[in-house]
Amino acid sequence: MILAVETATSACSAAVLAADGALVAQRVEDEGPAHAQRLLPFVHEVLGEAHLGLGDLEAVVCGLGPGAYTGMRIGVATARALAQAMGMRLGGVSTLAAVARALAPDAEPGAPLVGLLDGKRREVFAGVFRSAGPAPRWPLTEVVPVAVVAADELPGFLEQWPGAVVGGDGALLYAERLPAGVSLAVHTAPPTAALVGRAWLARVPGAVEGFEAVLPVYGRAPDAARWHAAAPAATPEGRS
Amino acid sequence: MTGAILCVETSCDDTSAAVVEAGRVRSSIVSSQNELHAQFGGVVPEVASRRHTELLPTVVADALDAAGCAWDDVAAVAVTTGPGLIGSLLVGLAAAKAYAYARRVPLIPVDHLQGHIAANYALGVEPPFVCLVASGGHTLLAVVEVGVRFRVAARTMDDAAGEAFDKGARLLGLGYPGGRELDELATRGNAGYAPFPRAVPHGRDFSFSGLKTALLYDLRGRDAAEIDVHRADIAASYQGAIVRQLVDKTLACARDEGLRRVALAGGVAANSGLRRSMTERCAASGLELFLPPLSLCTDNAAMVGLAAGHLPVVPWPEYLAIDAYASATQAKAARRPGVRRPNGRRASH
Ligand SMILES: [Zn+2]
Repeated sequence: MILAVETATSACSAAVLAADGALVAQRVEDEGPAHAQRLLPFVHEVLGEAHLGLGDLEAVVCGLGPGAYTGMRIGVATARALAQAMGMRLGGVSTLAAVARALAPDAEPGAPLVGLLDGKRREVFAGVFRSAGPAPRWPLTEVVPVAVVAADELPGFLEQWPGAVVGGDGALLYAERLPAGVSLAVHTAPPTAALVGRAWLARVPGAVEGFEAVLPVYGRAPDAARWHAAAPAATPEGRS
Repeated sequence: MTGAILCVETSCDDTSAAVVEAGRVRSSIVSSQNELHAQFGGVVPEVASRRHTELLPTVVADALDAAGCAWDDVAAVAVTTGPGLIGSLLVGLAAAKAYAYARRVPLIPVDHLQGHIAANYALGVEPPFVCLVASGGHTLLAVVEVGVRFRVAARTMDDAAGEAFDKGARLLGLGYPGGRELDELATRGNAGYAPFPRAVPHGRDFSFSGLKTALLYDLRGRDAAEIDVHRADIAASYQGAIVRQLVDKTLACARDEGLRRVALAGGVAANSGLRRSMTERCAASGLELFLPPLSLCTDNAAMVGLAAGHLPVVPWPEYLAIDAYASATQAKAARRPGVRRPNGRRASH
């Protein structure tokens, strides 16, 4: 049994999964960014429903994003602390890869699977994978692990991947921009802890383990670092 | 609360953890991010939050190791829930709640200001006392009535004292954060060299923005060679003016409140000019002064544990939904994570 958490989008979720990926219990709520208040109550509820304590688990696994920074950090900080305090295995997986893997049953073998997650400020995080095998593992190969695409450039980006199946909250948000020939699978919006747990158990590309590796995938440098790189002399005032 | 309290503090740019037991600090680890933020000329909230996420488990492991404490020995977890940079606070709070939940122990939420004040309990101060809390984010006079319960007797009308030091240091070309460099330079200067305004028209409250402007105009009125020669004198004069205001108002508050004990807290309490002047003036007025060691003045998790001993314990698992708050006014209704302080100011020293 593993515990999985996913907090990279406006949704917050926690799940208990069996080693074969079967879902034992899950909570998902998509009501804005108050992940700090919801995540651990959800963890407590799913463990209760599964009649398990943390000590009964083999690993705690979190979605690493990219997505909303504060939410990602709450999920990752929570998972790291649970693993540390229990001496438990710690896993993480790209939320984009988790979405892509969940798209595989809807796609032809070898078809591009594209995860799209809302990056705010009219940008979307995109991850491109290919379906590389059948059920039950649904293995993936990685094509583009993470790209930042302006919403205006999304149609052009997706036209590189004819026959793609796309999912994730970004796909739903920009559904009207999806070019012809791209199909949208809505069941991956928002991505859930169950998708994350299964992707990690299947060791998709982007699945990692241990404290060195289980850290948020931001996809972008902090704004201040980008301004600084662009014009070191023009560092914003008022930050002291 | 008996047993070891694991303490976490991430309200600004220092990642810190400590073990405190029965009011005694068993270990205290602070991983400063100063060098990381220096390149930006100030604390960048997003950069700080990223760094806390990376560092916290290591800092916690180090604090437990240094205390000779195993996870089984942890009887409670204490954590700063605000005020501060919300993104930074949330990293520490998420981890602290998870530690407490995993170990099935209570959580003790601690206010950052109460933490700063409680640093004085390491010195055995007895309430009631007046505490000058001065840092990069706060400047206020707290009348501490019992434990860590306090009433605000005065606050700053504009900048915090630590901001005044850091901005002055920048104007004097001393880099970032600069408060410490300014203090060092000032020890070699003549505080009577440049006249900075003494009176501030705010009654009990503090005001520092006028001083900063006065420094700006003073420097504009001198040529570069003169500034080079007299940089230490100007620094001493500027620091003297800030310190004079802090000491005057603290002593006036003690007198008005009829209190005989005075304590210092916050990063500015590490300033040598303030420590010296406060020591002399308290002695002259027959006041008993408590000066926490420098390591307990700047942000640290030990002070969180010292405050925790005076605060209610939230039993397992009733704390799972506790949230962080960016400012004191949001303390009760902190229900909007992701809200930033609008001016991006540092929330602590
Ligand atoms: Zn502070």
